[in-house]
Amino acid sequence: MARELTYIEAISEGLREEMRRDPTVFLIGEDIGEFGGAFKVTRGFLEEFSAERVIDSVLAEGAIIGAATGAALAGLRPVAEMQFADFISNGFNQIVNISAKYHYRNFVPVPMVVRLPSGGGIRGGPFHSVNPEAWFLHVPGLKIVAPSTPADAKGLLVSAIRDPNPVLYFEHKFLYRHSRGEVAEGLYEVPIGKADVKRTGTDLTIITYHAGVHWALEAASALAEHGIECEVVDLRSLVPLDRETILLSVRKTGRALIVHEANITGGVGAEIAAIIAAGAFEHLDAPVRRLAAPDTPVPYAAPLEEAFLPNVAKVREAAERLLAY
Amino acid sequence: MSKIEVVMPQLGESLTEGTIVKWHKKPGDKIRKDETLLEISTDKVDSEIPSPASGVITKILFDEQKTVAVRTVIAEIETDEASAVVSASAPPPPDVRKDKPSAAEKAPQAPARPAPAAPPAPAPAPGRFYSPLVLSIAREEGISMSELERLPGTGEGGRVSKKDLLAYLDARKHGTVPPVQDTPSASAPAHQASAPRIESALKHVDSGDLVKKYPAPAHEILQMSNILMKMSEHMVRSVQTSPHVQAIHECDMTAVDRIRRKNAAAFEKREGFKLTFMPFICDAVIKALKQYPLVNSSVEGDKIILKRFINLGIAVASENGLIVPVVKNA
Repeated sequence: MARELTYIEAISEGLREEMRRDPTVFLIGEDIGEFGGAFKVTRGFLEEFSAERVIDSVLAEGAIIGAATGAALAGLRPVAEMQFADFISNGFNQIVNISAKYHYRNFVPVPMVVRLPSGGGIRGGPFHSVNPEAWFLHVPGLKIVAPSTPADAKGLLVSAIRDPNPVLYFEHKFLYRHSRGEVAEGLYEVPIGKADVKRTGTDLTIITYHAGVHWALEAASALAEHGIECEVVDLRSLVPLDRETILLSVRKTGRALIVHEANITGGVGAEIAAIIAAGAFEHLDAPVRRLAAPDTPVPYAAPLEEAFLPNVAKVREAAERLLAY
Repeated sequence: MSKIEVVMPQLGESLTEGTIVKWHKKPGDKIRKDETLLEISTDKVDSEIPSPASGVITKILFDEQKTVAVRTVIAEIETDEASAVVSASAPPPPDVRKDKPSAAEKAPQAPARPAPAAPPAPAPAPGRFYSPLVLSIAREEGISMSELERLPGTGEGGRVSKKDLLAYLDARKHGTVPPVQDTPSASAPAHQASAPRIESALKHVDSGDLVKKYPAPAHEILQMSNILMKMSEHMVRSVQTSPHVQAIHECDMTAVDRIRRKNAAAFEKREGFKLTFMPFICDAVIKALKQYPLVNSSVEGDKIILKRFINLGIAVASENGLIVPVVKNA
């Protein structure tokens, strides 16, 4: 039975059901126990699972990730929460040098998840709005997922918890309460490394993830009224990237627009553009183009943040320009 | 909405004016930023000028062939400020897809032109860009490069897109369009289809006093390009400022030819072009001038200025006319 949930409800449900199923799953993070988390993802968890499995940590991301890594090595399945994805920079050494490399050096699995509330559009300013996924795309040993819908959010969280590797789970703060959708009851997995074609089309491929999926789908609907059929590829996983789905789509349409909210330089889009150039060159009828935020911190003032973030109108304009090439 | 004025650009420090060769748009046309608005010609170079903004052309202030001082306003564009500045608002839907004529309908026609005096249909510019996909399809379908070059395109700057090529292939398969060929206009003589000649690239003039003086069909009047005008001006000046003397001697080039043949293959492989007699001739000229510097001199009043350096000019016939590259300090 499926019912409609918000994106944040789907994350809570996935966490709760995995904790009920598997006693080795536990949570650690700032204010996640008594307070229920900054965004209330873990409200009621302390009462149901006790303080042993819902640990209110010190205000130190390095300690949270380090403790989670140690617990994973000891056979548990920790889910660590960064209150805001921005603050993972404080735990950078632990995640990059320890969590990501442990299996390579010592042949032991590191089954841990770091949950990263990321993204702008909530007037969070430069320290509470970042999309830092590209930093970790470059680190061998990590998996990265970034769901766009409640159904994918639940299924990918379940897969992330069950995966034997460290998984960075990026959850978009704007989508928390703005994205609603059907979510199946009970536990199910959405495979890591598998993109999802959220809309099929023949004229242009929009490759995106997270909030970008929603902009792209809305822009595609508007363009469809003018006889233009865009295909929207939701990456869902950033590591590993689903090259096959990307290339299949671009080989079909001959035009690729990559959209993400993170700033443009050195972003996920650059990697995808390189994959397309290498794997679909002879199928391209236009240059690969990227639409992303400019290379500045995320502004706090509302009009500035609106100008900074990509949106439906910008996606549509970029698509039209590419179609006119 | 706001108005943007387009001015004649200064394409080189010493340039003071430019000639409008061709408008790519007419008043009322939409234009995107960086799309080609017009072509201009100056003493030094012919250039395509991109639009400084997206919007609608409201005014074109000078006709084609008019020469205008740099920084003079030549056109006006009405632009949607919001989209021009922050590009945040949605532009109107593109009309490229709506009612787009198929290649079958378009093929026999010359592209629409703003000027009433329609010159012969221009062949697409040589060296036009084709996307990897268009080239892949052309290869699979056995479309030759010359066939591709004659295909009209609806993409940016007339680019042939996948859709254009597929529409053409489809129309050809159903026999609704003959394979594209050159479309000679009534005024273009048949010989134009063969070798490209300078005159075939020039515009026909069909009004004004000269037309009465030199009536058709016994005469054809062509508009000289800037390059041709400069070429004739320089050649006349050259005759006026330096005495031309010719002396003809026979010279045995057997030894030179032997060296040339012996090294021809290796030279071409190394340099990418053929070894001709010209560099040997240049070398001989330089040696001779060094030996007889009086030949390389000029006269000022009652003084002779000997030049202790040699700037060797070599006249080269190019597609656009005569050009003289100079090897300085040869």
